[in-house]
Amino acid sequence: MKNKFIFLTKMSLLKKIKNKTFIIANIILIILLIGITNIDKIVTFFGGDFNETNNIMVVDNTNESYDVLKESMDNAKLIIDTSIKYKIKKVDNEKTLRSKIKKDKDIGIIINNDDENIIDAKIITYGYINTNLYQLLQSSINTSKQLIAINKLNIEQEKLAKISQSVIIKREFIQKNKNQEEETTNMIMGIVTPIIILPFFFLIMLIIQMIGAEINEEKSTKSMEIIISNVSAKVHFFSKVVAANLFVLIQTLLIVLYGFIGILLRGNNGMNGLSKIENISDIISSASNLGILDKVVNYLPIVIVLMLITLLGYSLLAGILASMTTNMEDFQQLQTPIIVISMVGFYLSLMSSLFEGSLFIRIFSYIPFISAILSPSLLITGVIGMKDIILSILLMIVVIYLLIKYGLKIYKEGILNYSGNKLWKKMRKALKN
Amino acid sequence: MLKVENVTKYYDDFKAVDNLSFEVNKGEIFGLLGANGAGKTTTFRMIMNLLEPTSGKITLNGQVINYDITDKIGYLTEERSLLLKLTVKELMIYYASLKGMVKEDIENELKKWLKRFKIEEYENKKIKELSKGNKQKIQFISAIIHKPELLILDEPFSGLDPINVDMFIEVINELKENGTMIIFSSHQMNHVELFCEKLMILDHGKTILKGNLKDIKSNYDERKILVKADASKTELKKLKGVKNVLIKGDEIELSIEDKKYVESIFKYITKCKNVTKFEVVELSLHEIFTKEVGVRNEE
Repeated sequence: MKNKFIFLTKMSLLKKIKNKTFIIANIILIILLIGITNIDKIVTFFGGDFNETNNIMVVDNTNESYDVLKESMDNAKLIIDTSIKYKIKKVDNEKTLRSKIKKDKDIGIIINNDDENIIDAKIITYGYINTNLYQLLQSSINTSKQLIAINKLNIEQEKLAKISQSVIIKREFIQKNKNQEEETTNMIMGIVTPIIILPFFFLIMLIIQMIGAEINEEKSTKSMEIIISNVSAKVHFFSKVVAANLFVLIQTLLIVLYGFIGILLRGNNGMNGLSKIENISDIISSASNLGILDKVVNYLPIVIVLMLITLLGYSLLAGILASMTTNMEDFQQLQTPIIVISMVGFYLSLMSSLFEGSLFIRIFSYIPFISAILSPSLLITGVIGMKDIILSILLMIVVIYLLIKYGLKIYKEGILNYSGNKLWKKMRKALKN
Repeated sequence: MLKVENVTKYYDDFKAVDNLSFEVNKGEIFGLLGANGAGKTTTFRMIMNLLEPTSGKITLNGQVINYDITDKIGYLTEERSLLLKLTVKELMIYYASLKGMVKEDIENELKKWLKRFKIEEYENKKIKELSKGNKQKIQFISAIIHKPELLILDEPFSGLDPINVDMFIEVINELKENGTMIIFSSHQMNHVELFCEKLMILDHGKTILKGNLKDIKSNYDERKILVKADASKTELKKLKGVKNVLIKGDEIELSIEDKKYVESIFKYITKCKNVTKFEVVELSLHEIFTKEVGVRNEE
């Protein structure tokens, strides 16, 4: 019987993996993920402007602003956006400047003295320009104005150094359990959430559909008669559940692998190159410096455990419901409550910050089937902690135990039932047996 | 030997099978007949361990049916039980592996049977692409590929043309000769008559007729007389014991209440002109079935 279980699981898994839909979906996924991780290169390849240098030309009618502006831009660039590339040079007059602006990357700045003998400026471009670049120019011009003004007011070097020094900003939280490290953790998890929760939600949908389709295919073709005459309903049930969970696990690992392949294909640039898109490397390095990365690494395994056992729970429930139906259409109807439950979890997760601190959201975070979808977001907002996740895991284990104990009775009864008549009565009777 | 002893099966308050008992020996073909809903499928499901009898016992070679025993049973279901998205080879590997066969043996046996049924080219074709008859062949192969000791055939000739029916009959007889116990069920009584020595007719779960086909037939007093002669239908109807007269081409078919009237009818026919045929025949299984099941349903 053990061999038959292994055979059934292997057969079910291979059937899914050999399926054309799986192959096509993975081809699309690998292209998509490699594409996303190399988007800058792709854009550049097709003539995009990821690496194109902005040509900034300055007409300095004050004869004292150019060097200050250049220095301010170099400093501001480090703060605002590290991905903007530019070259800055001086141009003699406005007429020459205008004649040299021939494309979007040509930017002209005319600096004049204003009424108070400091500076004002005019930015001339070919068309629209990048918002970050505009902010960089605006910030640099403002800084230049301040520096020139300070200089003109004859402030001593010592005082000037003090004025120019960066402001030291300290953080304080009224709530005792809040600290800056946690705030940074929240920032990191805020980026990670769409990467974890949305795919997890889709994996839940995938596992429900997959089990439902496979069991109903065997039922509707009556091949279930042949299968169940050779293996027990229990073996059949667990083989389907294990195969579906293995499949989801394989698919998840493949997605992660595709991501890594994408990063590897970037070559030496690696994560640094990605910073052009999301500033990921900056966040990772700041998190690492604060020791938050270790904390995230500590949270992740337990969240993954919760997700895995929740997937198991969903697959058991889907299997039980599929045994009660006679075709895929009936299953689609019967699965609606599970879909609704997972959607509640999904939307609560997206809106979790709105309910921060409320008891309502905390209670929801313990509810089996919802907990795994909601918990990562609540961890981010600091509503729950490690103990809460462990409690959610324990509750989910209890539900899985009950599903196996009572669900198996329904499965045994339902799997060879081809009539939709008195379905609930039959199920109630099965539970009593 | 398959032994079904006093088996009863209830679905809630509904008695689907009522105190059923029969035996099938090695090399024997047993006919299990009945109208729709008579309890045949429930009986097969109990033999296949898909359902547990409410009472009674089913054993194969002395052992109560369990999942080790079902490996020795082949089951051809009335409705096709094929996974349509699989190829013939994939399906056979799936089903036969569940019977404990290894892949190499399955592939060898499959090739042999596909050749025998003249469908070698379909080995890697998807089941859904096959014709109704070829699907039935695949289903039949899946039931016999593991050389079962007991074979249950529920409507095996469904969807087959006469040439393929003959092919199936040949294989079934071979299996019988090799010692396979076979339970045969069909609504085509001529097929049952063809190779069932023993049979049982069920109606609403109850056994209404059981025994050797020969005995069942000879125990029936009703007979038919086939006559070729210049005789008046009206006159024949007036004869004692004649229930009905049918003209079938150049032949007259008389249904008589009892075989004791044969002699008197023969005497009458001998007086007619141009007598070329006078044959007394037993009722066909079809007629016995219709009579038995029909009468009970009327009751």
